[in-house]
Amino acid sequence: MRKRIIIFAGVILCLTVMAIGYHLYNMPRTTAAEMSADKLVSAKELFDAYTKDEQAADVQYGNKVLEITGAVLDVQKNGKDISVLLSGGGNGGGVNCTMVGDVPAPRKGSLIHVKGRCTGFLMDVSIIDATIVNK
Amino acid sequence: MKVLYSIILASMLYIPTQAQSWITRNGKISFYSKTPMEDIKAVNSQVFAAIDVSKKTIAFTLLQKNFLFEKQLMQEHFNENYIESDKYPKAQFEGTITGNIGTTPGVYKVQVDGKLTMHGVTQPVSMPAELNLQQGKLVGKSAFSIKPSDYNIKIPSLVKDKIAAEIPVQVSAEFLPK
Repeated sequence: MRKRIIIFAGVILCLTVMAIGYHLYNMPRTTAAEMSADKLVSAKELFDAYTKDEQAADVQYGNKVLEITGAVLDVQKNGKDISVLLSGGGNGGGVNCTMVGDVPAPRKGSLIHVKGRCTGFLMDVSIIDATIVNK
Repeated sequence: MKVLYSIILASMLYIPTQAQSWITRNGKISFYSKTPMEDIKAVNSQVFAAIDVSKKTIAFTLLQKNFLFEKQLMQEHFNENYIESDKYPKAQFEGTITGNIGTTPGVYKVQVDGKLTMHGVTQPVSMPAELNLQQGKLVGKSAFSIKPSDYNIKIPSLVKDKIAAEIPVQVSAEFLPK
């Protein structure tokens, strides 16, 4: 009887471990939209930080979920995808935000708040998984 | 690297009379690894690319962390174990275009040859491409394949059957004149 209980408990334990492993393996990617912002920053402040010292800016902002406030410089639609460029305050560069999900395109020139994950700097600061925050 | 940024900066500063230079901040590159064990797909929608039609040059650059996967674990393994995106954050391509690109709207089939740098390794890459010149924009499409082993990307034997030895890559971008 005792042997049966041990075998049964072992099987249950194995199944539980397998279920947890399967769940973790198939867990959908956590988007920045589901997380709270680590930092609040203006688009100009963020762009200036990266153009001044990319490495230092990456330590401060890289991989973090940011809430960025800035004026819409450009909106680009590519199929269902929408990318919003927030003005960096100068020469046409800024903060490039790729929106996640169905988001209405903001008007050019409007001041908006965007939450997303900062992944670094190309010609603009790069923000992915972004959503517009209504305030 | 300097050549890449020169092409991109020249494209940004150049004021065209007949739209010789085209750029995009939001080109799309995706890859799809298909094996009997598992299908893995990722998309990067923030590819910065530039084409100079007069010089017949093309360049693009992207951040590896901008590749988005459906599963969290795949995203983490890609960045931390395979592509090592903290150590090698960017991938770059510089190439030349062979074939006629007309000045009137239409589809132009061309050949692109160049060098792709990622994970600290540079390899020659060739791909057929289609450039669709439309009113006020240039839509580019291409596809090629890469082998992770060519870029010194080590796949542990435990997951080797889940990742294709040769991975098809799709490129699409809508360029605007600059």
